[in-house]
Amino acid sequence: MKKFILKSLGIIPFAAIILVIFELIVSNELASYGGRILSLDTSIESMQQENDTLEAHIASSSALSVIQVKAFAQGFTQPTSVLSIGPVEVALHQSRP
Amino acid sequence: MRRVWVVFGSFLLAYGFIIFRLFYWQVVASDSLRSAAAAQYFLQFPIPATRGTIIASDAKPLVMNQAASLVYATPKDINDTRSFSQQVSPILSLESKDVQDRISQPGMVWVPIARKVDREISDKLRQLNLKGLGLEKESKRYYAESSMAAQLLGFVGSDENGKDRGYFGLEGYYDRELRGKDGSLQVEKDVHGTPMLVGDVIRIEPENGRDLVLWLDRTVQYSTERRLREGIQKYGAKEGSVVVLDPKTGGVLAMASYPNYDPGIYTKFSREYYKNPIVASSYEPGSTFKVLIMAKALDENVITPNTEVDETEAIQVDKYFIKTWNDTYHGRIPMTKVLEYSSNVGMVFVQKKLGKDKLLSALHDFGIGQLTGIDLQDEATPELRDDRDWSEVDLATASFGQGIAVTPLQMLRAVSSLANDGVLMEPRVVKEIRDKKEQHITVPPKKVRQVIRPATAHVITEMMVAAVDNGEAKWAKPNGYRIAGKTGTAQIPVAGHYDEKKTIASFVGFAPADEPKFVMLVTLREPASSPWGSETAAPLFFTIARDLFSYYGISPR
Repeated sequence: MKKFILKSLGIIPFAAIILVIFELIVSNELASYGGRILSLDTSIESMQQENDTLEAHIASSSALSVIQVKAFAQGFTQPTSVLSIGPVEVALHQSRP
Repeated sequence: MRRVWVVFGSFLLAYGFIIFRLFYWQVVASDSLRSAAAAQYFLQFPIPATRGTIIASDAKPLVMNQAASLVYATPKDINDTRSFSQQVSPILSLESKDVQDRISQPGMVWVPIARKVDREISDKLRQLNLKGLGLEKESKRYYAESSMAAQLLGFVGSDENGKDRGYFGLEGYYDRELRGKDGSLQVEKDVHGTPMLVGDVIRIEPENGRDLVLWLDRTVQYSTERRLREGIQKYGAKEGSVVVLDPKTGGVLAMASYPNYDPGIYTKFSREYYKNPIVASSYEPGSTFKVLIMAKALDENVITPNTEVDETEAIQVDKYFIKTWNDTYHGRIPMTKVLEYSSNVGMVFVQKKLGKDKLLSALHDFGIGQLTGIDLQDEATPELRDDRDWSEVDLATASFGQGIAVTPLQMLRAVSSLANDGVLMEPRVVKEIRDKKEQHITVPPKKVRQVIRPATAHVITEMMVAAVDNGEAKWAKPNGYRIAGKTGTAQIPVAGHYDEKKTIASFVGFAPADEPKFVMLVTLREPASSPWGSETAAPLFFTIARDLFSYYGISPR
């Protein structure tokens, strides 16, 4: 039992050294991720700008002045008179006795 | 022994000097060194807040944000300022010499060259790959409907610190809600200047501006503006305005003025166009004002619709004679006919019946001489003379809308109470305020006061319907609709007297009379074709009303 404990204690320094080396490698890798994050942020910003541009394009395409011009170009005209069909006298509208 | 002491003393001096310098660097200069160190190993970015959007009642945006850039130069990185300017200035449509002068100023580390530059232009600048040229993201206002409702919306300019700020209209009134609050991001950077993931990060999220949802109906606004432009051209008027309210809520459905401007390029227009004449300019309302005085007299029971007045000749008030507008007299006529004939003599009779105190009370109750409280930045009100300063002739002329000044919005709000069972409402442009977390703040309609009884409102409505059906403008009225209204033709005061040729023609009314969907005021300044409201403003009102009947699906009887 004592031998086992002594052997285990001997492994600890090696394990510590391995963990330290591992931590150094990981930290070093993470430290270089900053550049990739910056690149991703730039992409996100670029896409957001693209979204803003598209939203503005949608808004301008659905502007009433644009719709009117397109409507006239397709042959739609202002109605000169409006015919109103008032309440229709049909059986459905009459109350049953 | 002496040499030992000399050496010892030298060491003491050296150590003392070191301790002194350490004290200086670690205590005295610690703050400045800490800042300098932070600048070396921290990157700081502002995270700008997005300005809120302004949305019409049909959920379509009227004002939104568009990506833009601030173009700047760092002179210390520029080797040849002339070449730099020559490459940059044509893309930005600037003078090369101006750009060169700016970047050549001594001691400048950072020089702004252009603001709110569109994406296409900033892409072209990026392609130049010029050392010393930088682009910083900023946003720019985009007006989807161009110049529609320009004076109601306002515009965004810069304040004294170069930050965006709203001016006039909604952009000015709701600037704080729309602006939001910028955030910031502070990260540790490595030797190459790129952020370190394992380093310290301090991020303060921006609070984006709130969005405004309006009562304004895009279709009604567009149609109204189009008809106003056509009307101004047809009748040869110098200026004109139309405002449409929902009488039940006070919501502004449309607000159009001409001439106007494009808020996207406001600097290219004269400053006089920025002001909204509907809330900031005044005029004498003329005969349209008669409906208010008549309503009050009915409410006070000093007259009834059948009370008769002797309209046989001009009436004398003090040393003046007050005539009818066309010098025509009809003998004994009831109050209903006073409105139909738009009789000034009849209105003086009503004013005398009402008396000074009740007439002045009517003015205050209808909100004349008071701000309406509308949520637009530039509202103003003409001053009403003090109650003690009213002469006999002032009271008489006020009864038919001369010698008294109102803004178009004050006039319309007062008439709107007649369409709303006698209740005066506070006019509002914004219906709802939304933040980015989808929290909605509804702005409820605000009742100001009960001006006249509902029964009186119904009586005056019938009198106004009769005035439209039988009055001077009956030829232009759409068939089959009950429209309550009144024409007005007011002379314009010039240098202390009234100009005989210059008038403001107006028409105010609401429809359908029994269940009003809208109340509208049309004003035309100095129409050349005819000075009379019945021949200019009234037909324009009815033309817009036809559009509104069609849009709202209101059938004739």
